[in-house]
Amino acid sequence: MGKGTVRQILLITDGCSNQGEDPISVSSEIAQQGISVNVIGVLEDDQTEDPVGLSEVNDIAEAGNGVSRIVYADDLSETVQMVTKQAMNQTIQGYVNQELQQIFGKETDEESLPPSTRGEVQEVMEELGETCDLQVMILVDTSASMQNKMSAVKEALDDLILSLDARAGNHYFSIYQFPTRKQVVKELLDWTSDGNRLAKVFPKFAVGGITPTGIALREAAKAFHSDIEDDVMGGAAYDVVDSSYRQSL
Amino acid sequence: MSSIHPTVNLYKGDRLKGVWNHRSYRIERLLGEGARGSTYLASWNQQTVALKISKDPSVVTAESNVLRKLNKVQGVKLGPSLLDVDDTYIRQGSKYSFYVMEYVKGLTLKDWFEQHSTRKLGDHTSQLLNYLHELHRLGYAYGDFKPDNIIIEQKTNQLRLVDVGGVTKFGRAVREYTTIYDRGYWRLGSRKADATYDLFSLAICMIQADSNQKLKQASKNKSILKRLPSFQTITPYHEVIRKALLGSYSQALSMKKEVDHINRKLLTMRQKSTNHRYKKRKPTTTHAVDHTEVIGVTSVVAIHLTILYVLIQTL
Repeated sequence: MGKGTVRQILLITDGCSNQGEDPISVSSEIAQQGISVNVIGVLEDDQTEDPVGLSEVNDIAEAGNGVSRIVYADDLSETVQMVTKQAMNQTIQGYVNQELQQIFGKETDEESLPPSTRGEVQEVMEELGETCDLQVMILVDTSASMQNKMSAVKEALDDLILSLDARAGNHYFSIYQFPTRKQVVKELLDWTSDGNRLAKVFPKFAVGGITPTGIALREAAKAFHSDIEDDVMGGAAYDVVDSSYRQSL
Repeated sequence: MSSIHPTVNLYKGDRLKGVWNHRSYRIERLLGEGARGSTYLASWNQQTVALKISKDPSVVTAESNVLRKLNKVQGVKLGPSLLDVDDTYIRQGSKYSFYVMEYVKGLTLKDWFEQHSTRKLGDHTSQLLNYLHELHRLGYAYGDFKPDNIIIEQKTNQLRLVDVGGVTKFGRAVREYTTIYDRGYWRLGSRKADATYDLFSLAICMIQADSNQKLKQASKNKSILKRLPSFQTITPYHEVIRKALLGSYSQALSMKKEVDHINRKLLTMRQKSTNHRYKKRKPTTTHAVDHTEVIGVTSVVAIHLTILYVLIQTL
């Protein structure tokens, strides 16, 4: 994996965290590890577009150097793939701006170049966006109120995989849910790039009560590290084990 | 900036002054708003132009890059002409990037479908296939191909592709698409840019011309092929549409050939039926029609005489 990999967490939730750590500060800690935190807030059909309870969605993403959107379940597919792509571009942009600063000095970023030169930088960034490896951890809130949105979530993830498949670079995704009866987060699918495995995961989603978003984020983020050490990407052996029954990391 | 929608709200009378090229634009009204930014009608030096602005500067850079490439193509106009790319400070506050292009005035194909349904569908499709052919020759797919992005230019009566946000190099992931025109959404192929991706979207456009029913985004019943026969106003094109949906045409030109063939057949059929009707119903002053009229008059006289004869007999 190494240098050319963009790492993201995609949190799909429909409400405010109500237990445990502050998800906003956890999110900024995760961002410092080079993992961006994107958040999608799912609205009830009768909710207004800007409900108070979901303001946390934007704050978590902001703290996590990520992108956020608040949408109705019907628009989930379109949003999930767009957020993922935008966040990836944003990460690459940040990286390229850093490089520019090394070359041209402190104050330089892409926007301080004249528009004509910017075009060339843009092409380099697009090339990177198309070819870099992408690692997305999908963290799904399965508290009781999410129950009727699960089919929309599944469809959106199917759609996301379709978009990822179209890229030239490799991608790996894993799926975690929170909360479950016994654990804060539970791994449903270990790192894989096989979209067909999504279908087998969804029946396993059991829906719980509370929303401990902060702890869930912290726990889920650990998966990035354990996997880098284990070199899971290299060996397909893990794919055989039904990972959802492993202990929480 | 990350969590914010890319829309930049501008109002009639707002002035935008470019930081680099120093041109000043006056905003007239909003033309359209998308997921990647907004397009406004603006004026500059008594010229009416279209100005696209976004909170995400990479959108502006990427799209102006594409326009520059398309503008180089001779012969056909593939996109609007690019006039300016610059940054500006909105109301002395934040800095945003924008680009300015030729304003293509006319009816969108979407509005045309609403007003005229399938009228001229064959001609329009043929013309669009020609554009797609030229674009594909450059090694690009249009990506976000839909009736909202196509304008029938008032001045020239030609179709124009106006939004280049989805234009993608072959082999790459399609940059921007709209769900129901997207091959991936219907599970009939990937989102990798190639010629067949655009032809798929064009086939959906043809289906959308049927004003009796519209395709809607739905999570169930995703089989577009099964639903095709129910769009009855476009029956002559069903086979072409089906093939395009299945990716059977590897090139725009091979689809164009078949569309043109159907167009010619429909035209001759239409001509025959109008000629037919002509003879039957519309007597005018031409010689041939005079003749039929004479026959008409004599037969009427004959009928009357017959009736008279029968009456006399019975009496």
